[in-house]
Amino acid sequence: MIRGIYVAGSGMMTEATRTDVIANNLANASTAGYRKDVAIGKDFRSMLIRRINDGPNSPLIGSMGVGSVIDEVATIHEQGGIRPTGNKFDLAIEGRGFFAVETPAGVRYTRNGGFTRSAQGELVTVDGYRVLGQGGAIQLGDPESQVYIADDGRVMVDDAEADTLRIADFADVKRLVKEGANLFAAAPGQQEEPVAGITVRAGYLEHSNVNVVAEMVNLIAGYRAYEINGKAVQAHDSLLDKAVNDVGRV
Amino acid sequence: MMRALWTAGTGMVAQQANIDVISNNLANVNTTGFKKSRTDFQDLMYQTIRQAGAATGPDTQLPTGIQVGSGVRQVATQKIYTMGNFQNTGNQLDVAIEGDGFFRITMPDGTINYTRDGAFKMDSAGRVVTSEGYPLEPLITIPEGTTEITISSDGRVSAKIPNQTNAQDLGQIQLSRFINPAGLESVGRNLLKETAASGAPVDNIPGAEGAGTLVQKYLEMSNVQVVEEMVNMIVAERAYQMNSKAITTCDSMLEVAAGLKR
Repeated sequence: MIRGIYVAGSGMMTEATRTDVIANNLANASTAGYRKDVAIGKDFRSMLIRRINDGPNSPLIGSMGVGSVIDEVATIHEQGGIRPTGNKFDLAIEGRGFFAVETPAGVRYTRNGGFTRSAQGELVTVDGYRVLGQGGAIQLGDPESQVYIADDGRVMVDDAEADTLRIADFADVKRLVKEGANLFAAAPGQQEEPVAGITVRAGYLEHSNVNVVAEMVNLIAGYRAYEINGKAVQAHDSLLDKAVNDVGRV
Repeated sequence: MMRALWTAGTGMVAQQANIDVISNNLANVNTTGFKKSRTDFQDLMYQTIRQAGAATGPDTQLPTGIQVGSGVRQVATQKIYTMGNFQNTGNQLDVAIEGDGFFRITMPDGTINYTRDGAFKMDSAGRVVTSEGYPLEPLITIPEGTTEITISSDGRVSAKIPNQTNAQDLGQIQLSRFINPAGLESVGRNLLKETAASGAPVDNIPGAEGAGTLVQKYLEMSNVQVVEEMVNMIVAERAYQMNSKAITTCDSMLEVAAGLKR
């Protein structure tokens, strides 16, 4: 059939996926510590067109694109805004790094520092997963103990240093895999690295880094690209209509 | 159908829940001892279309993959225990807690509930009770003919009775503290219930072991900051609108797709 109909169709599918990614960013505009995704498209390798029926040496007459596809959904690890919450166990990281959290599936990483003190006296996430310090789970003591978390990540319980938050960084944060529930998993073979000079703010939470204006603009651009590709499909359809029904009519 | 339609739908549902919580905070802006709540969100599952790290050659691999998220969910409403403002009422049975802790209230079924609302009253038998008539624990009974009640900062209640030289000691108010007060269950009527998440109560006299001290003739107002709630409401409304825009965009895209076949 006419190649262009598939090319335009692949363009529509690319834009549909892009819209899925934008919708997820918008849905998570209020999720603390959420990191936005960007869908990056690419063209398929163009193919070379040869003239045929020209004898043994069919000459090249140029190249033709065969459509687009989503190449990558990249997570943008840009700092989100920080807002005060009034809860002393809410933590926000300024700059690089992730809180290390112990989940049933292993150690996971998060930028959402909306933590609480559990009934067992440990610092936990909203899902009840333990937040890790250098020596494992962080013990905050009994209800009487006064807890203070310093800017450099030291956890002070009753004026004694109990532990230091395990803030992990990665050489290539883009390789981290999103798992949902605000958690990132390290890719196979990816090693955790310590962060130099961390700044933790107790009593603050980091917003998502979704820029809603940019997302709305991308939404519109994506929609129009989709519409235009739709028009190209229709134009091809009209051509086929002519070819099938009109050509050869006497 | 398009994933984005459902994804944006979860965003609308989440913002609606957010507005519910904000409305309740605003509705209780004048409720004595009320502590505001906040909604916490989480991103939902991700669908992996192409796995990062998959081999692309003998010694090469994909540096990044394709993961498309499926929206957001409300994961918790967390109570924020900052102090509310103090209001001078002049009423001698109004008590505010300055610092941590909750008053203990005996419910009709004998269980203990907890409150920061110190607007106490006296019932016909002279017992100190809440506005609902539930007695304070330990029970404090005010003798007939009392002219003046004094509640000290450490919770000692004494009554001045005519024709008696010394004030009569009526007992001591106790406060309960929890390792995780955010885990207490709100049961309405300014009352909170112990849960497995809050941990067991630790009872102390006011001022001891980190428990707050009492201030007589004052009430603790709610800690709701109207400006903050209004800002949160605006943000939530706009987030809701944006998600609805994503839905209408999706709908238009589906319309284009449907219009392809003539």
